[in-house]
Amino acid sequence: MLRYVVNRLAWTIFDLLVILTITFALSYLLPGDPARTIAGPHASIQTITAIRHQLGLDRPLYVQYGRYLNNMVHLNLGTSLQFGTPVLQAIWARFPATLELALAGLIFEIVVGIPFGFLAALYRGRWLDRIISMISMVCLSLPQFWVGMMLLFIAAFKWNLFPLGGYGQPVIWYVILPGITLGLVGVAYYCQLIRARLLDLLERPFIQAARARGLSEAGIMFRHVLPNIVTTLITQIGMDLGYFMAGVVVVEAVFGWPGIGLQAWTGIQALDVPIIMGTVLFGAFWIVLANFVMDVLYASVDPRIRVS
Amino acid sequence: MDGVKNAGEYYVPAVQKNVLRRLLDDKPAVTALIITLLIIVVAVLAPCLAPKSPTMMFSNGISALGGPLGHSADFPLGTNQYGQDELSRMIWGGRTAIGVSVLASIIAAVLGLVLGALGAYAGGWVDTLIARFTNILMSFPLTLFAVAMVMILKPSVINIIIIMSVIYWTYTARLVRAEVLTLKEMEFITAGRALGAGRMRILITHVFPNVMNTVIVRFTLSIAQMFLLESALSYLGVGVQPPTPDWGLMIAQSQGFYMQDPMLILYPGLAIILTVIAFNQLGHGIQRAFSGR
Repeated sequence: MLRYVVNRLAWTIFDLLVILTITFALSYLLPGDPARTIAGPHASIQTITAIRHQLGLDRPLYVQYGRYLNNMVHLNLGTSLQFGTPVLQAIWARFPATLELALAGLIFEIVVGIPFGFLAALYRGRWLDRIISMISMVCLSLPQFWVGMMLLFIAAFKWNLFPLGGYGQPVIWYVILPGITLGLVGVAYYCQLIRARLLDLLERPFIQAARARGLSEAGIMFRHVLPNIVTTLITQIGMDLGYFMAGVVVVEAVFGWPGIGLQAWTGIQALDVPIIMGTVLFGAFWIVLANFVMDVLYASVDPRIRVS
Repeated sequence: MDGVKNAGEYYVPAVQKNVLRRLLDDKPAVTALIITLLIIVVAVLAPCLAPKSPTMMFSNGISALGGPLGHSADFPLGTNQYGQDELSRMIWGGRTAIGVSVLASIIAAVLGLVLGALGAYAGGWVDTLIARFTNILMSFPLTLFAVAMVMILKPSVINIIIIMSVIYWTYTARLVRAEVLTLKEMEFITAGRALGAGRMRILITHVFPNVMNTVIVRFTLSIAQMFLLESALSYLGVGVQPPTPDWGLMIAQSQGFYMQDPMLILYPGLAIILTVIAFNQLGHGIQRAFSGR
């Protein structure tokens, strides 16, 4: 087990290194001169040259790359052009809001998606299954920003049930609509996942054997089916949390939710490249981390993984 | 999403012959096919079909207060806040996005097929390298990554096509790789090698044709996914740029007005949903036809 974890950890570090190289290459490709952006439109050539020197932009590429890696290892993601504060500090300040939204989306997709997946599988081929399958097919085809705007229009504007976007206290009041918008695709996804897994499992010989031994359907569900689904679910939930925490630009933009996604989006208008690249990196970090944790968890549950 | 597949059932030659017939016998697939064709025809013929110019701001298209107008004989679907004809914009609105999604899907399919097959077939460090890189690209937060890249390359149609292909080839590559790994062990490949066929020849004449099913299904489904991503990019202001009419952009531009006139986001929204459902269902239909289920 330890060997497996160390091996996976080494690959995770390798992945992060490649990701840093990609973001470095992207920043290097950027049009425009960061020195000029900082100095402003009326700065003299001398000032710009001085800033270029200060930023190390006049050094060879490999020196800049080395400096970049060194900065990243020391968690220095640069300075935001809009706020003048360190990027990581700006991201951490907004992160709690994103985390709240991510949890709301996750809870919604689990609480709604899993029961419907069970229902669809248990009523396989009947009208309930067909309706659930149809709705989940539609949910997978909805543009998030449109869903958000429609929810705002109907539930907040027409019926006055929720605030018209933004953030406030109590948070639960504000997080419901964006949470639903974020989780809707996931509801459909979990529904289809659970249905497929269940249908596959119920056909297996060991379930038939359990039936032949005279176990009740409920007993079979809890003793034999659920434990087999839990691993699938845990992996999926972990990945989802990683993806949601990586920033949900569209939902945050629609609802004016003050998370890292909205911050990155406003960064676009301000051409604040450090914030955008920082958020991309921050997001990629969570996803890689989630991948690692899920792999290790999975291997600890299923010994076959460790061996191969 | 596709559930667990039994690799064996893909390689039955008799199934291949009846694919088209099975597709045309499948009612949901035929419906999806007709709708996709209709959407494409409308998009292509938009210049002939649209009653008015989609970008012209009509002085009689704005209310006395400077807002959008509801439907009238002159403007069947009303106007937006700029006095532009909604019907004409709806007809034009899928053109760019569909073109972008189809082209990017083609590039992504070719890239995914070549890199996925190459890695799995070559094995060794080539495979490790490609598989690793695929995984790494997939670890980037998708929308945010696309947004950052558009910012760097500037939002133009060509750049958006490049960015979406770069993001989406990984999904095809992963599927193709898995399938080629199974194929590699099959007798007919060994037989081909025993007969003296070179690596390239086996790859092109034996491996590629056998993974085409997967690639075609993936291609159709990725049109739907790219279409959704493209509309999100347009909504965020880094996709199709004004004054080009585009459904995602139309929704973004109505942000300040849709509370008074929800039709401004209802029509383009439904158009996006219909397009995505149609391509998704067509993809699933083709998948059913290939697998013979």
